[in-house]
Amino acid sequence: MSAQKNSLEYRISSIPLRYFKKVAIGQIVLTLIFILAISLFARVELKKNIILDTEKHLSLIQEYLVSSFKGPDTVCKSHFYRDSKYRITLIKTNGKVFCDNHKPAAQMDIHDQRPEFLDALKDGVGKSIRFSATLDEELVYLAKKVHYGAEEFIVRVSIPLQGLKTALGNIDMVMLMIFLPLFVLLSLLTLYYSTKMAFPLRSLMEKLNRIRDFTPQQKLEEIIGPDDDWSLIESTLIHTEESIRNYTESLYLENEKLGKILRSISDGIIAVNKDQKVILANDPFMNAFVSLQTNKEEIKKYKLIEILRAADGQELFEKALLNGKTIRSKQVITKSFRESEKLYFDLTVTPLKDAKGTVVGAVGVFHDITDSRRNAQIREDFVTNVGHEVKTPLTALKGYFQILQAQVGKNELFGKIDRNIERLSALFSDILNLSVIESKTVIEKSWMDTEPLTSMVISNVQQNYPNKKMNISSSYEEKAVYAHPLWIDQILTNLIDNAYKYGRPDGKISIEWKGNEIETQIIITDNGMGIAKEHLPRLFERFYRVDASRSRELGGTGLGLAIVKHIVQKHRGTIQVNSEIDKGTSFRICLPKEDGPQ
Amino acid sequence: MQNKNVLIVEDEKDIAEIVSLSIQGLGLRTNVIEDGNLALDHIQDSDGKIDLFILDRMLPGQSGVEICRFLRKFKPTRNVPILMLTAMTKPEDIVEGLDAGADDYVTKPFDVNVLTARVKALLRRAVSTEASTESTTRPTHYQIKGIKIDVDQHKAWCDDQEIELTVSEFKLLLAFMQNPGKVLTRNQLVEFIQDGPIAVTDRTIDTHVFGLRKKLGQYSSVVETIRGIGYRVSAKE
Repeated sequence: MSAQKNSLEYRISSIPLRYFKKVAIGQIVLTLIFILAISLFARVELKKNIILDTEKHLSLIQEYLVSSFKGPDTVCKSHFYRDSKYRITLIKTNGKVFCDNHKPAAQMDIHDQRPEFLDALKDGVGKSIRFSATLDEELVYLAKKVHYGAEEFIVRVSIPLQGLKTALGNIDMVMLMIFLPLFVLLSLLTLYYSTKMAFPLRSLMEKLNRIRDFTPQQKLEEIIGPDDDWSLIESTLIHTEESIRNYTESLYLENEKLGKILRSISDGIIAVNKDQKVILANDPFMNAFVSLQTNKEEIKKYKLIEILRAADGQELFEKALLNGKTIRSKQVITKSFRESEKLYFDLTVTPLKDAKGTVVGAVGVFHDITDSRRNAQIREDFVTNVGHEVKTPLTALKGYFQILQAQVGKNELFGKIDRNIERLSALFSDILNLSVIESKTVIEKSWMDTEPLTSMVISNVQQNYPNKKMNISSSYEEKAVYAHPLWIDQILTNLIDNAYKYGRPDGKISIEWKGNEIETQIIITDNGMGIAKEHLPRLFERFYRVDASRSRELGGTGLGLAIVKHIVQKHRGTIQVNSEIDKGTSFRICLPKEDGPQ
Repeated sequence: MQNKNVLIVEDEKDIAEIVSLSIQGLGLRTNVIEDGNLALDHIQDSDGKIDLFILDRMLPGQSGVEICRFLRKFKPTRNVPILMLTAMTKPEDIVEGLDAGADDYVTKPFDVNVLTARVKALLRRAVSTEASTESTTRPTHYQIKGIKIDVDQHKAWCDDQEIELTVSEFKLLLAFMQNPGKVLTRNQLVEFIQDGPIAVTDRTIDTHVFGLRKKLGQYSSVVETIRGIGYRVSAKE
């Protein structure tokens, strides 16, 4: 980390140098090459012109010599021959020098290999520019073939390129005079601009670097540069820096607020990323699953599975991460880290999504229901014990009474005692039933086929009313229901039993199972005596009776519909009743279809 | 029915007396023990001289369910009928007792007449089972009321009218016919018809019974539903 930072700092501080290396040197070298190219071109052009001029001059002399050629002497004795400015040579076709005005002919070597000689011999004319070792100078040679009777001679004239050296020297001087100041000026300008770019760039980078490592406590000094393009960038940066600071401060405050909220919530909260690694956990979660001593940062090393010792809870997280849907309220049982006690939670897992909607993690909220479950358990146990305690004397009462009856024989009072014992036991059984239903916090549902369920209830109820021949019709649009198996049976039993109890001996009962995506409906309709409107609102109250004496006579406890209502409520459903005197009554129960297994 | 020994394990003296008195009327000899542990000792000492056990569910010492399990493991009592007495608050408790090996149950507060009828039925069945175990081969024919079943031919009749049953329904009917008067829990029925890798659940049992009942026509009421517990075929003529 620090090495990286150092290198970054080095890179920033070396900006001017690198800028100079890359930009300035490049420009200077380019200028230099340009200047040299121009000079070279000028020199080549100059040389070409001088040579051309010399050639013209020479050819004039040669023309004169050739046209006035009347034997070798006309050359060797001409006034040009005496002028040492030109070198004139007459060569025989075999290469032997006949005469030369610069060197005695006897000292000359055979000229048969000179290019101008060979050309002239072959084509009549020849030309060559050569460096002469004799004269230590560059020379232009022109050669031409002439005839004198049967003899042939080659007339060669040459002149040193005398002006060339000086001319080139002059032009170099001129170039130097013009281009050197220009080059220096250009280089200085380049340097000036590169430094003008590089140093503000460096300070800009330094500021950017400081913003990168920005903490809300620091404040960057304001640097207002000269009034140029950079100042705009800098002022923008300063502005950006200010807004970043404000943003960071508000984020910090928001974070603090959230942290406080998180700490004050009594539910355990844990957030994990996509790989189920812990991102965050609050105190109640730590208290329940890890231990308060464990460091908040340390927990981030763990995966959820290492902390959460509840397979069903783990499963919920996996599902939420996979489907991206919130999964609610599933009872999760875990052993606390204290090992001795069992804890119960309602767990809600909500997936965390980024702006694109991709799942990046999940948050689980653990609502502790251990206490309410414990209370429910205590209540349930109490109900069970009360049941046992009450049933024992009741059983004894009933048993002794029956034995007595068998010993004493018939008495009309016995029937009355028997009926009251039956009522008492029915009443106790209903009260206990209701208490159990009320005390349950979680109900265990399962799938039931509606047709067998209903037909069994009908046949069971029928057995209790051997004297009634009801016309029962049933329809099963809904094939199955997800409910507490015993309780749904109880609902049907109580409602169908009521329809029997208060129905005409030849009455009609219809049972319809309907359903849509949201709910399952059970509609039970009879054509009995109906219920007056004023009774309907209180119909589901405990011990509320439309006709008390008649109800008692028929063996009702006054709790049947209260039980039905409570069961429906425990299923988060609703119950409605419609009734008309002498026409009949209709109960409609709606049970919501929740996230039951298929 | 005469001279049979019935062991009653019940901690409530009054209830024990009522049970005792009512079945003595049938000509049976009764013995009452009030504690679960004492009952176990007595059973081990008596060495097969008991013909019926009537057990309360909640007992000091060993519970009725635990005694039940012991009786089914203990060789001399393996086939002796057991009747459970229970203050029915939860069907799960009754199912637990039946799964542990009880043949029938009576809930408190019970009707004395019902109790004696059940006792009679259990003793009668015990006699027939004894007879069949003596002949070492299980019978291949069963009949209850108008329903007949032939195991070898894999056929069933209702009043001499052959009825078409699925494999599961046949197995179910056979289970009922072999155990007349005995309450069969859904778990026990699941074990009965479980075959191969297809998982049979409580719900499938209900559906099969529903189908079976439909096919039994006028005898459909022979198969009684016992809410939250299971089914029983009434042996009463």
